[in-house]
Amino acid sequence: MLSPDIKTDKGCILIADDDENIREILTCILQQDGYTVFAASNGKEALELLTTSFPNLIFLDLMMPVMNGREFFDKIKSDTRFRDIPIVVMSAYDQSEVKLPANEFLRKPFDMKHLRRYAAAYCHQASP
Amino acid sequence: MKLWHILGHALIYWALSQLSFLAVLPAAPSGPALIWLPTGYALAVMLTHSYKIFPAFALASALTGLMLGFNLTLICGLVLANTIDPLLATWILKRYLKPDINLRRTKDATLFIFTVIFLSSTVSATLGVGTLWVFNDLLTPFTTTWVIWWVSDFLGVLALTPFLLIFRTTPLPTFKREDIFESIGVGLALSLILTLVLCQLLGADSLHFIYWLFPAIIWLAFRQGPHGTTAGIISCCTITIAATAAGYGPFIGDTVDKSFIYVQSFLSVISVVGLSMMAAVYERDLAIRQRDDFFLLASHELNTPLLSLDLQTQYLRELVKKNALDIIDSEKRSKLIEINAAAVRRLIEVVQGLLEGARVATGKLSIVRSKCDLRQLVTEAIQNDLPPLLQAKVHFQEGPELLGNWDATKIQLVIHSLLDNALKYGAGKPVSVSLERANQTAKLVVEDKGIGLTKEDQAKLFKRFGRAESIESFGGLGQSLFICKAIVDAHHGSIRVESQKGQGSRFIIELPLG
Repeated sequence: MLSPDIKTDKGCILIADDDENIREILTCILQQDGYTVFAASNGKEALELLTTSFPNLIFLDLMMPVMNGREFFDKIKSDTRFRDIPIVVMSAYDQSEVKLPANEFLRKPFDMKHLRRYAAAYCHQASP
Repeated sequence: MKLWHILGHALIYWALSQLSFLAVLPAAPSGPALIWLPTGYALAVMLTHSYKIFPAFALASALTGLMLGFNLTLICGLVLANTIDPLLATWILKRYLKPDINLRRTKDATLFIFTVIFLSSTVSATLGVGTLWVFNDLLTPFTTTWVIWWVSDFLGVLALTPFLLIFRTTPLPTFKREDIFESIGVGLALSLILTLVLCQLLGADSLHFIYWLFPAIIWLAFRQGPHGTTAGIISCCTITIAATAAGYGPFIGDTVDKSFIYVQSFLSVISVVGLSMMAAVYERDLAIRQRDDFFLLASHELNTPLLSLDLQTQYLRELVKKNALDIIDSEKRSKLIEINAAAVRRLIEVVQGLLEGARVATGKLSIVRSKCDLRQLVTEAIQNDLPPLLQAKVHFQEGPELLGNWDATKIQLVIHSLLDNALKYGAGKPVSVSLERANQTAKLVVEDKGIGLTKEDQAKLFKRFGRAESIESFGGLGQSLFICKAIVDAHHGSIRVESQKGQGSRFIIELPLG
């Protein structure tokens, strides 16, 4: 995993994407910005990480094996422990096609500044 | 099969036979029916449920024969003719149209029309009229009775079965307000044309105005879908037969035989045109939908590596701008280059997949043969195409040298696709690859212990866009195995899959040696 030695105290972010390269580069960017980052390659892994990491924000890809993003979304929205965690859905499809009541939507490919804006906004909201 | 089930279907069959007996020409009130609806009903029930329901129709046929005053031998002939007809059609359609019959497909509609007209109704007419002839119970010449039986039988099926099948198996589309107005408009146009022609309001010689019905039927097929088309066909048949039976319309000929031929020919043509147009329009719409889905999928497949490259470029540009490249040490730089290389490799694969798929679909796949060793091709595919992490998951039992006259690049594409699929659907478990010589063929087996495939999934796997899993769970263009099959076929080899849901899959390729 790419992890520049940067102080990570701005908040915790969970990335769920089946593409290893995207996980790597997103982790690298967000860690450098000072966030603690956990990455999962599918919804099941992401669910397991939730219980140990309690993130302030989740960046969620939809198309994933084992448990896809939609199934993961439904699972955590029906779990009282996690349903308030904000979710940013990342998809190559249009927001109107995705039809998921996520907090934010990032259409792939996206600009790094949008990624950072959502990370800053939601992790800032969550910090005491 | 429950008793009330059998009795219920028998009752409906019997009621339809009584209704059909009302559809007779005024000149021959005790003559044969213009349309025989019970067979249409029996076939629809057998196709949607099971052929085991046939005792219901045998029972109802016997009752009908009894009420007609037939003796036991004639009743047996009638029961045989009326039961074999839908049984034969069901057997043929279920045998050749797998996994289920869908009259919206051209192939299904064509086989349905062909089977009904030329096989099941022919057998039924021959058995039924033959029995009457053998026992001297024919009032008209054999040929005339045979033709009338034959046409009224298949007409009943062409009119009623598609209507019942479509409304039973296809969900109604959601109608917008303008669709409802359009449906009412076409229905009114259809009724108006039939009224004008059948009541001869445009003159006694108004038969040629009946051609005006064709644009209405074609309009239904294009705009109102299978529900509108089948409803239109049965409406045309009902109105035309009711008017003719009441003595109206241009179909009343000089003789009873001519009247039969006129009305039955017209309704048969309307039914066949309507069903054929309906299927052709459905397949056109399906092809357009598949093309649009494919574009969406292809854009997604291209977007993923593009996002990786784009983010990396943005990230590096920012570091250069801030003069902060030093925060990435040499190990991380190597990692970034690996990410870059993987993204570019994936882009190349997607573009190659698009090109190969188009080549295969348009019949432009070219094979350039040279002497090569399958063992070497598999080794290269594992070592060169897979990243080290995935290489570790592949257990390759090398086997003997297997020389053949093949297109090395294309065979490597096949190996790569099979490995890619096995790793993708293998649930993270190891994948085994083995080679062996079997007679004069080289046998390659790629086996995973992953999610596996159902029988239905296996049936569509080698078709273009024949995806077994939802695109929400697994990416890909849905044509890699379609390309593999085309390549293997071009080498006069074979490809097959053995699999069970949840138990993994085993893909076996055999290529001729030498």
